[in-house]
Amino acid sequence: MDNENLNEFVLRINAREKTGRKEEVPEMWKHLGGRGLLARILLDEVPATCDPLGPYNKLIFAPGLLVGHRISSFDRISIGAKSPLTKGVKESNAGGTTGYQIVQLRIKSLIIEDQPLDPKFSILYLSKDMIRFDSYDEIQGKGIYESAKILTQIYGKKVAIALIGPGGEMQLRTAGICNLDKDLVPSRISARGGLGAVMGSKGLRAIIFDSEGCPQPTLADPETFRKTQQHYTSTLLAHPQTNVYREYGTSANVRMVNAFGALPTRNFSSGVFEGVEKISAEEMRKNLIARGEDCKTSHACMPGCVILSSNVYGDENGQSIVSPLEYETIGLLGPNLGVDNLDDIARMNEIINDIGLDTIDVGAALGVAARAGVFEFGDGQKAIQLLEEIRIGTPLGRILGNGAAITGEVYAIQQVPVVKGQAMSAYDPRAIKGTGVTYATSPQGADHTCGLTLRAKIDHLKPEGQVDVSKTVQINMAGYDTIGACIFTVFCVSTIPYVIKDFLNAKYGWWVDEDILQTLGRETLLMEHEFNKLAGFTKADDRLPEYMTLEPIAPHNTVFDVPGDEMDDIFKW
Amino acid sequence: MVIFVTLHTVLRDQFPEYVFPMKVSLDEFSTIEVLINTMGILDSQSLIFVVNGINVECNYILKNFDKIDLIPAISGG
Repeated sequence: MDNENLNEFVLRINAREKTGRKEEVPEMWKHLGGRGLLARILLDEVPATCDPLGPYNKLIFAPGLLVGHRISSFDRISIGAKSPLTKGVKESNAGGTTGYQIVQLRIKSLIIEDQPLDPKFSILYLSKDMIRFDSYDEIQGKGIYESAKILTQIYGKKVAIALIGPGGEMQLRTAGICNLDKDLVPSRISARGGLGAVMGSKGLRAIIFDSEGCPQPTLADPETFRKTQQHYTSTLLAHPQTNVYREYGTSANVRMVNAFGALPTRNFSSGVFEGVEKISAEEMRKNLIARGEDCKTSHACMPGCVILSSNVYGDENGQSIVSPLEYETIGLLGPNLGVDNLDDIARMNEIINDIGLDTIDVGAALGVAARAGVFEFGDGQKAIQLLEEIRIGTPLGRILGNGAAITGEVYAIQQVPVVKGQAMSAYDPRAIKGTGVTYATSPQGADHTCGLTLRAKIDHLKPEGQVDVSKTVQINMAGYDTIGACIFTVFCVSTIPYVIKDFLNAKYGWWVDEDILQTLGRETLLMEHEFNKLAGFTKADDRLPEYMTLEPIAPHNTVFDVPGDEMDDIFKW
Repeated sequence: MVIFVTLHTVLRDQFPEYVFPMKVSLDEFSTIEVLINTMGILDSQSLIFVVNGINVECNYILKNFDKIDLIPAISGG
């Protein structure tokens, strides 16, 4: 496999010595990118039993294999490490501009090692000719949004930035790493698994990627690449699902998942929410159009995207509260807390983003806290107050900011919707059982992006067949995450699957077949599984919380009943 | 027989004057396919059909008082 023409290199940063060096890409890494490359590097270089917030863990950035060429929705950046939340392998990918810029800089992988003795944070600046550690005084104590504004004033508007907020500084286990979108808003978050805490442990508050002066990466066969890009983009634009994403965004899931009886309501105690209409995509769209001004019903998170599934949610005067307001966030901060007011949900979203945390895990932690009696379900204002406690680091704030699993342990609550310590997304696994299998068995912990089975042609309430459905989707998603594709391209690519091989062959001069996506997916999953095994994971970690096998959920009154021994064989192929 | 139909997202734009769920009368043993044709829904290829909370195929035979959601497919978030 020859990718010499790209002149890619591995960039190692030593956070203790504040130095960096370029290295050749090892042969075994060349055919990988994104999630697959992260798994390879973790297996090769990180002791699986290490302290995730200690010096032996490494924070790794790796763009997917097809990132850097403005293919619509293909410019995602994967960030990974051993997770302080799950204690296992972790990859979390995001849109925005970091992926594109890192490829222009020819960085195949950025590996940040060790940690500083001095507790003071710095900013890492990377350009074509320079590796530099800058002072972070200008953004000390500031939230994500203000920090990003200041950093773009200092470094210019053409750079990409990956930054952490106060949550990452406090090394909270729900802290993410925020990336700028095309409008310089730091809203594209590698949110899951506490990677922001790992970046905090490396003493870095922000990383600036400045590709000024870098020529476009070369392509082995530019003509075929452009033709494939044209074919892919026109197919994507013509697909009816693109229109749904563009007009309604992912919030269209609210009523769909409620119809399936899987909308997490009041700490996952019901699958239907009486206030569903008020928080639906249709209601949101109506409000955004009526409010005007900053509000947008469609918006691109990265340059070149034609799906435009993002949005800008504004208040009654049309002034932006947050962008985007997405389904998972609505689910975990809305029905999961008994809140039926989209403005309150948007404000919670904005605060969580500004602290630099994962809305899914913090939403789940609040749900557990409400179950414990810390506040009343439905009290959005109290939930907002609790989020401000996280920002200033009160003891209760730190408990919530460390996620649902810790919150459940502190308050002795059994009903905690987590797997491997990570909170479930907004699909109750008792009503979408294939997704329950994904939650249970994914090496990443509970995460819908690893294998959502909502659209599978299967009765979601029966246990039969769910392992196979989950396996297929998990393999595909691990493949997509390795090439850097957004989850929203799946519906289009599945109608023209040959474009993946065409793109890869045209970029790298390879001769791979149409099953390359699945080949990469399988390889990735096996490496991740191996890392977790070395970290001490067993079958017991591949199970849903016990209460979900005992306590039925309305309206279908079903429990999760996919047999454990079937799930244990999921990665045997 | 009578069934109750809820349309989602872009499908609602085709029926702006209706309040959902809308009551629809059909002959007994009608399938979802018949319902879609009766309503004049143009593109049914990428729809998800949910009857009483359970996803079904378009050849599903509807029963009196069934609640059906017609959902343009979407996922993720």
